[in-house]
Amino acid sequence: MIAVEDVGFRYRKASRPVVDGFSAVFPSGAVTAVTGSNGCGKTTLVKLLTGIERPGSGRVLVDGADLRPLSLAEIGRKVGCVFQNPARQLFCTSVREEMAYGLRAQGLDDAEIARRTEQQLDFFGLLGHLDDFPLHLSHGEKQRLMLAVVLAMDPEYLLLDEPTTGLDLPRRRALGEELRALAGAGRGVVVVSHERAFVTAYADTEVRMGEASV
Amino acid sequence: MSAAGGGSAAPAVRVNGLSYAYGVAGYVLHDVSFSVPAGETVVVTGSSGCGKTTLCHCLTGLAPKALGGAMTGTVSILGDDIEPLAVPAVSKRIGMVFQDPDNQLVMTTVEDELAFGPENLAVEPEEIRRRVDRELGRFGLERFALRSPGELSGGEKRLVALAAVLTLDPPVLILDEPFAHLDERGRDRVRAAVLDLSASGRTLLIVEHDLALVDFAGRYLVLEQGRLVADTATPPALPAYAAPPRLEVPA
Amino acid sequence: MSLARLDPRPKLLFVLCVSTLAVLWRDPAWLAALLGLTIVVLLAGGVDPRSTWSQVRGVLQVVAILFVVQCVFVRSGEPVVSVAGFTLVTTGGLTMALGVTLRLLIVVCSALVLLTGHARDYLLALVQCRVPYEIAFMVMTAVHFLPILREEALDVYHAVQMRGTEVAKAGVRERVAVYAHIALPVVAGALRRAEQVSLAMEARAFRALPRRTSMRRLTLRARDAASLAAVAVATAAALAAPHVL
Repeated sequence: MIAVEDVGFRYRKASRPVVDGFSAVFPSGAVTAVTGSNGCGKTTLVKLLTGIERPGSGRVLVDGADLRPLSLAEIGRKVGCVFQNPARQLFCTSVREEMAYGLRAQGLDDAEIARRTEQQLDFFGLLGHLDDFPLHLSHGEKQRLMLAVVLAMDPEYLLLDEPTTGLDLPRRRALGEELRALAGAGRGVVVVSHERAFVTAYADTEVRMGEASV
Repeated sequence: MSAAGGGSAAPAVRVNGLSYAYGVAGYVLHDVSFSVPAGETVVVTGSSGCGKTTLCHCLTGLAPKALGGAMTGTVSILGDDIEPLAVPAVSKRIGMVFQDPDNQLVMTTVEDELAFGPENLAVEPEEIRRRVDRELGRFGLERFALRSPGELSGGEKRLVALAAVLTLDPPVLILDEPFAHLDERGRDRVRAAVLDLSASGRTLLIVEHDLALVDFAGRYLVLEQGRLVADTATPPALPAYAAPPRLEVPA
Repeated sequence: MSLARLDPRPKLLFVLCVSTLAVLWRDPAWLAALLGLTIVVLLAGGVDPRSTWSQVRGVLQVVAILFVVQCVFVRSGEPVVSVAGFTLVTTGGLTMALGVTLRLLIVVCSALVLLTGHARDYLLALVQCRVPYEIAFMVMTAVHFLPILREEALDVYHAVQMRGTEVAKAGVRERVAVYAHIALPVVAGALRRAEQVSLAMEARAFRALPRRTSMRRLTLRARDAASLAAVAVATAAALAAPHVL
């Protein structure tokens, strides 16, 4: 379970906090949706859950451990994240390299890296793209590649920021079913989305973030 | 608005046997033909990668003129083949609002953004001012006139991008996924603006895959792998989400 | 007279003239006088010292470091400060350091004059001074997209770490590898963005005709013309002064 306890956060130079006294839990084995209109702090919550930003007050606990002293690399082993724009997360020159990067950092041997790469790319229908340049893939393919990359690293939690952006309906449906399957397999899935229909169809619970007070 | 077509009998848009290929990647559009009478609102739909955006680029002459690639067939706007026309002549006939507002808003104030197009066409300053004020008023953007477009919300940026094309007075307007990346509030605002334009007699082509957002259109063109597979007056049935099964949403 | 209400052209001329003098002059006394004059212009023009201070504080730190470095590394002239028989600072070093520091401060302070106006007015001013619109437009677009590039680079930097790279513990070689990884999507993204911007601009008839008009036009009022003349005369006098005195 990821627990957010009474977290407050304010950007440098900002006059008021984006997130103020916010608490929520994101359980394992379920899809939790985070909803709210633009500017309510959803993107900031993603940054707080991945450790990109650290809370000004309160704490974020992953399986009971405070994130504060952990590095991004340490948090990344527990919480995998797919950004709204996966093109900003793909930084290798081939799909194969992209898959291997995080696994090598975990100290896995080549055989295990190859096994996981094949397993994930097969699941996401990308095996044919092994030697392609990741940034040349379509938006949908980039997103599936990022899911494969993150899932190969075997995190306990998966965090997706506006994953339906730029996907058409059949692809959204396929994504929703994947997320359900991952939750069914015991992972905690957090989906930040403003797409009501998607949230209603695929989320177990919903965390609503309030309007930023004017 | 009296901008649409006048009394001429030529359709606003006529596409005849249009095929288009980028470099070596093969055909993106294949033998597409259709025509749109002046004043009609048409939705172009289809799954990702079906060629919708490429069709927009062909209609505005950006493909092949700016993008390269090979095009066969003809595109006529208001009765004239656009192939021999220079860019300014095309941009007076057909305007396009691109998907990502951040990549089409470049000036430091909203009012300069709206003036950019007519300034490029060397329109007289008083006339530019008149058009800018008209479009600011149409979308209720007057109070943002001196703000930087970058500071606005997603929905407001979309409206500015739309207004910035409308100051060129194009009788035909293409909107490429005007609702993408917007929250519900932003969608409502943009939808109201698009509805207004549709009712004003302008010829509108809207690229959109969420047909619920464009249920006011009179006609739907469906593209599949670069081919026009349907041209109907009723929204084509598209796959819906799985029925919501499980736990209830807590209040 | 408020700088905020002044035409942008006298301000551009002021920055140009003051920076030129700062580069030409070598005598710290003259440079100090020029810095003093610039500050007087800022204060008299209604620039708020407190908010300005927060904007220049970072630059001042760099200037201070440069001062110390110059002091220590230029070894000509008489010793000024010695520690245990070792000469730390010399007169040559001090003069050199003072000169460099004053020049930097003059350039920074004179540029602050520009902050009293809006970017759109400088663009218009440059165009009205016959700078080709394409060049003025390019500069403006570059400035516009810099923050976006920075944000993209930060995203990739975080993404690399989230894939298990401990940047804080990385050696020089690993760091270089990380920067190479960051450059890839940032450059690719910038190219894609440039293409999309140019398409959107082309659709709005950018560079379609040899001539373009401007909705707004800057007109020189009496006080703007007077300011232009004052800056020009003062600069001419300042250039002549060392020969006359």
